[in-house]
Amino acid sequence: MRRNRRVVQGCFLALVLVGVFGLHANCERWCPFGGVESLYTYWTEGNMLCSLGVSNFFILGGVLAATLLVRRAFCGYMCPLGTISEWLFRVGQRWQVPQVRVPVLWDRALSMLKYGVLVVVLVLTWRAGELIFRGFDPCYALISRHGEDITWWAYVVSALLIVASLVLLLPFCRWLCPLAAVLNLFSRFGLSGVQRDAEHCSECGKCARRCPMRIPVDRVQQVTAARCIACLECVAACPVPVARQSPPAADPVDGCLASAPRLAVAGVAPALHWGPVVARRQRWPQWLVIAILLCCTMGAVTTSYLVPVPSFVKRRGEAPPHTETVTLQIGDLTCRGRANLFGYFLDRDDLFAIPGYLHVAAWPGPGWADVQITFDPTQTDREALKHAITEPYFETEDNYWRPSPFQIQGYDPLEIPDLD
Amino acid sequence: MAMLWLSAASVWAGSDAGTAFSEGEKLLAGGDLRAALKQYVAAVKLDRTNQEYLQQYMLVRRAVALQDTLAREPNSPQWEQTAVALRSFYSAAGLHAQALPLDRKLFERSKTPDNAIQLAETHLSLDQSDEAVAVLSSLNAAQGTSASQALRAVALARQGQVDAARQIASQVRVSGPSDPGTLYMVARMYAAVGDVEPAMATLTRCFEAVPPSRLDLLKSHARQCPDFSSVASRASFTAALRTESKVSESKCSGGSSCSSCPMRGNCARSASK
Repeated sequence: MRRNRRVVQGCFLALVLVGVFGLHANCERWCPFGGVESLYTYWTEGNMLCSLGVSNFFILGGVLAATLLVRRAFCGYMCPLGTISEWLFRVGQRWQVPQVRVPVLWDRALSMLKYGVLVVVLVLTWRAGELIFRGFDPCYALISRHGEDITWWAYVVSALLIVASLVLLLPFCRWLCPLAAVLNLFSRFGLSGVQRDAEHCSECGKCARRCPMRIPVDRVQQVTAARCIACLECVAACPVPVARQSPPAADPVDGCLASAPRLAVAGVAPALHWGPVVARRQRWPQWLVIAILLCCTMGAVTTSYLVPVPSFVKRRGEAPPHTETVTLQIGDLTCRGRANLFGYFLDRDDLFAIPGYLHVAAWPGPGWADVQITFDPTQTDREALKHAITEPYFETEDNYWRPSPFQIQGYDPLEIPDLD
Repeated sequence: MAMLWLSAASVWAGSDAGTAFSEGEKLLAGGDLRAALKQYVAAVKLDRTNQEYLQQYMLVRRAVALQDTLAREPNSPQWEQTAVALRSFYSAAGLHAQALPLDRKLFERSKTPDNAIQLAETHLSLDQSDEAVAVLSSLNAAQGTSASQALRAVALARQGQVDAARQIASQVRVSGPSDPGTLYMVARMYAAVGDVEPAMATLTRCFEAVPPSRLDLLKSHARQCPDFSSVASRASFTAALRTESKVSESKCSGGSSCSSCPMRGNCARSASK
């Protein structure tokens, strides 16, 4: 089980590393926490935080759906920071670095810190309209191309995390990760989880000792702790109760997987298994947990490409009864900053001002970016919109001519002989 | 072979476009906007990928349109906005003789310090320091700003009235954050009266406050500005010209990542502008 999980973890870490360092992709657009951070700005201003996209909402939705189904399996299988932290701990074990086992009460108290971190991060981000947390984000410091916005604080936090991970198991994930705080709210209502068959449990306590999240698995009928990351370390550690007593009578097991009841009847089934909350005796193999997680996240990625939700929306004025919409392909509309500049040109107050109602929905990105502009046809027309986008704009405040960096596919400014 | 021909043709078209663009620049410098426009059209048609050609064409076409608007509607409500935009274009293009009548009309309509400074600056560019002093002196004490006082000192120094200029210079104070325009005037004033050290310190502050996209233009102006001619050979002037801007300005990374964008962290603020 552990090997399977490491393979999945390794694949996702490799995917992220190749994306960031090999393809120079903006992997932040696929961070579920980016979706949490952007919610307020998107709701109130209609645009995403810098360097994020609506893809963050989709991946957030996918991860939350996965959390409802298989708890925080995202943390246990996909999160690159979790993988790095966990692997560092294994390295520490191999190097025989003295390990620190925090007392349970301390662990519970420290785990509340992440809710505070979540509140602080969200309040500061929403107030500033920017990714304030990035300057301290170890994930960004460890997995990025180290742009100008990485502060030395991020390196300090990363160094602390590395050192702490060598002696502690998943310190950031357990105590500080704000995404974990969000996922916990959903994980609590998880539809599947670790089930313990008290009849066959030898109460050896191995499961609780192996749990990286310090859940007292050996003392519950069913693990309901939100922090369970579905690593199945406890299930793997559970000894087979061969010599305990005679095999139990074959219980009526509804919907059981084919091999599970046979094993149970033979008396070799471990006391712990992963299964749905509503049908406690049903056993889900690890591949099903992984498949659910992959389906949810890959489904979210696919949906983000199929459902065209704009990542930049700007509205001016009240919509009249009759409007017209034009779709344009704009060159050099690459990011939120460019989209803001685009909106600035459309909102100009000179000869090329666009009067009346205006609604802009844009999908900034490399190449030709789609933009949908809805306007009042009684006050303006498509040509006026094109002029507003491409003509130079004189900024009276700075006494400065600002040339437009935007081009419209299929629109040739040379074909406009006289603008007046 | 085909690729070779293609690249050769592309180089030829590029150099031809470059020739047309240079021709346009010469015509623009001579003040013939319409003839320059024709050359820019040729340059853009020959090299569709060159953003500089396209943007210059769009700008000059716009200036021609503004000229026509002013000629056709001399008393339109938008006259002032149009005139300011056009005179700014003339000034940036070095067409001071064309800017002068517009500056005069603007100053006649509204005797603000800004209009006075623009008119005086145009006079100075045309070596008309007497007129510049007269314009700036017409501002009453309440209207005077640090920039207008500094420019008056510059104009007086150019007239040879260095003592009067020094007296003004001793009264001008620029403390705290100031706009780069004012800092530039003050630096020129100090240089004109021979106060090299404060001149270079102020010029450095000025360069630091100018956005990177406009810094080269201002440095070029400083190199050619007669007020700095007395300090041009000094090491401190060379050092000041090496000053980098401290202003964050977007230089889009191309969309693959925003990690190197200096505006990151300021997008929201720039959006509200």
